[in-house]
Amino acid sequence: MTITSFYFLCFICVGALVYYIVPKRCQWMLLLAMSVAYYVLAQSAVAIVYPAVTIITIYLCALGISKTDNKKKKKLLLYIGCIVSVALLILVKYIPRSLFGLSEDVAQSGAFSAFMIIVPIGISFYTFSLLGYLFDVYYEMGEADTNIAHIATFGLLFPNMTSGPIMRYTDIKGTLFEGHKFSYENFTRGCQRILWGFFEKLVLAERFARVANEIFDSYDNYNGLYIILGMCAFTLQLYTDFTGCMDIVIGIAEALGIKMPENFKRPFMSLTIQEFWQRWHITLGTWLKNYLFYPLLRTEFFMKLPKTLKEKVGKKAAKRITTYLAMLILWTVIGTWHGGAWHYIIGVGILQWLFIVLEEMMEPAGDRLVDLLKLKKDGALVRTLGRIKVFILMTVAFAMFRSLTVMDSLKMMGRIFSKEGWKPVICEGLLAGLEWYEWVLMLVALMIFITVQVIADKNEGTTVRALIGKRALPVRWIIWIGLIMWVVLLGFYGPGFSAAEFIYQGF
Amino acid sequence: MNKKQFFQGIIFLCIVFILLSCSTYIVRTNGEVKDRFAGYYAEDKNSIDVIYVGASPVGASFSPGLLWHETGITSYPLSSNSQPTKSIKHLVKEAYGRQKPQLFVIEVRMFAEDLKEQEEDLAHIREVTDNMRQSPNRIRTINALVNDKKERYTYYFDIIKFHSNWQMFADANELKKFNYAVKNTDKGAVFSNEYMELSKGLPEIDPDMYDYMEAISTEQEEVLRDLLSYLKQNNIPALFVATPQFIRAHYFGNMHYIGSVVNEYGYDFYDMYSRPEDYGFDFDRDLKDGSHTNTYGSYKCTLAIADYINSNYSIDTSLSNESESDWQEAYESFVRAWEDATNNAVYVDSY
Repeated sequence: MTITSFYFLCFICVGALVYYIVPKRCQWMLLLAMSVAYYVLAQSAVAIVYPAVTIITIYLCALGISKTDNKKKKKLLLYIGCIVSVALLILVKYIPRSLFGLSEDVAQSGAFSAFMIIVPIGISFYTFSLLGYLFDVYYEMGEADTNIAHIATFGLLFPNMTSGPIMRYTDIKGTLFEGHKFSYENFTRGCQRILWGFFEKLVLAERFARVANEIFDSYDNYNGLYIILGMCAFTLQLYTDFTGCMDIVIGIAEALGIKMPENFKRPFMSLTIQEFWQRWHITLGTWLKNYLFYPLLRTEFFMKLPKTLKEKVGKKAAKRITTYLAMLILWTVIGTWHGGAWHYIIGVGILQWLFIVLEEMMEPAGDRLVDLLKLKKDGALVRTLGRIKVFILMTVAFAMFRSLTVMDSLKMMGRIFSKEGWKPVICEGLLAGLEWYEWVLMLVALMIFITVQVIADKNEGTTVRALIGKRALPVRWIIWIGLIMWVVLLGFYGPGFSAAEFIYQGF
Repeated sequence: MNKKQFFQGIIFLCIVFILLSCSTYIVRTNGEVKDRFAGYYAEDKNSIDVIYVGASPVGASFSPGLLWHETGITSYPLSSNSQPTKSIKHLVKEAYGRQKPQLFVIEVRMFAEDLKEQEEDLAHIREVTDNMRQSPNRIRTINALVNDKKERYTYYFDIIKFHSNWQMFADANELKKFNYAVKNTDKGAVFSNEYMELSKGLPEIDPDMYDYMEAISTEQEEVLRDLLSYLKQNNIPALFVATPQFIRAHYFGNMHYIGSVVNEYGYDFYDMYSRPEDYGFDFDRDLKDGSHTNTYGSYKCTLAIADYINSNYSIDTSLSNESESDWQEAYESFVRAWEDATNNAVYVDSY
């Protein structure tokens, strides 16, 4: 039961109806019941065992930490909580992958399937959310909750089991456990966001996927512009797929009166890679920064390192090297989190670290060049070039992420410069993946998507939905009804289509 | 939520529902079955005297235009290709949604086929369900025909299946079907100028064969008996017919068996299959393939059924004379098809 399936929509409709009928104090209990039901329906009853173990462990450890003043005991409980949760994550997520590999044939094999039956969906997301709660209790940034059902609701919350966002207990508990009176505005805005998510996923991402799959799966047949096109298609697929999923998830929460943290803030409007990662999968970045990067910098090794290096390279460089080293660890963890294979570790790990470090090191040279060319640093041209740079670099990195191996990605990218030259963009191979009119539809939809992104970027502090809401009723209705019809008629779904699961669902 | 918002919400949902329903009708797969069903829903209320139900031979064998010209009886086929036998009962109910037919003519050929195959033949199940208008009866029909409960939603909301046909919005003929009601000039009939010469291959009919019976499958017999019980309980007048096709021994027995079951319930069975000589059927000229009649065959079958109905039933045609010009047009369409079959006959070597 993916969140774009018919049955999930029915599940949500019935759930939302009951949610607003039951007494407000029972709403969160209903959410817990729905989350458990979602787990059982989407996977199997057995799958619930894993989150249950993590929830019980984290609950007990957090409670233990809050009740003792003994620092050693606190630390021990923190370690127990971390080890159990991370061990389960590694056991069910990484060991099967490394034991059985990732190839399609192996994935279909009995052993892998048997393992997959009990791998709970969203394991990374609930593990990270629950660990964040434990850390907050440990660092006294939040209080331990004595009600295990609260922790279970927070850990299992069904909409964000697909791809997050990773929530912070202290931020969400207020909105999650307080009763919500039906608000027409919240409900309609939530539905509008869900609809926009469906547009991104079914109209855009699935079409980009056709092109990307065609080229990535048989890159030997392509070269030049085709490869570039395939790489761009995957970047756009990944973005629209992930942000579409987030819009559906956050939209569901909004319709129920729950405010979830944003996970995207128009990342391709970024001028640097560093800024990109502050706008892409924001909750993961924040989590890693709060619970990995800063604690890492506070370790004895990293505290001493600048002093050790100071004499050899100077104070400023020593500080930089220390930060870069901590960042390297951080980015390696991010890469590993995506799956542990080298193409993940390099593509969305080490390569990102390299981009950020190079960007920072080359910043003065860049500034000089801008001055030399007499351009404005915050002018339209420089900003546009910055955005193009981000798109190109991320496209290269995501191509590695999408390829089966690092070598595959290098071979594929090497074909951009092959001697066979650049053929015209439209060829039979591509048309086999997508008909010409599908191309037209895709490009029109992309234009709409970009326009919405630009409008949102220019209207910080409000939403495009709110802007539409200020328009006259006929205009609003034309927009929303038009969008509904677009998704229903032009979306890739239903029998005959195999709408892929959300890419980040696998993480 | 205040009253204004409540009513705005309701109106919004109604508009979306109407637009989706209309879009569903437009994007449904085009073709003769869609045209036939959309044509049925476009007929004036209570204007049809006789409704045919059954598989593809119905449209090929009976010409409503010709029947009207010969007898004044208005008729219309609710037929589809390889129509599953389980759907007949529901199509009879569907017919009562708009019409008060004085007689149903039910073609029985599909009762001789394997029921399990029919249940698995989703394409032909869809030909029935996806060509019905949205209604509670349509939901009941889907429940009866589609065994896989998890997949039924794609039948209830068939836009899920057909939305990829969005190019239909560029087709004026399909756009007209936004409410699934566009009159069909031929009144659902299918004409063909093709013919085959099949008499040489026919088996010799032993006189004993006319009494020979071969039971149909138990499952199909259950479906048939269920249909007959339903008709009888509701006092629905019906005539069961077997239309002509290439003769096979086991089919011969099957048809006689079906006839005996039908008679058991007090209904008539007109066996046009076993006794084609009675109405001058010519196996060298009247079939377009082994299973379907061409325009010549249609002419003979229509006249034969007209005779049979006139001899055995009293149909009051005074109730249905509202749109004579339509029926005249349907007849003229048949005449044109006849001329085409005469002047441009196409010999088909094999099928």
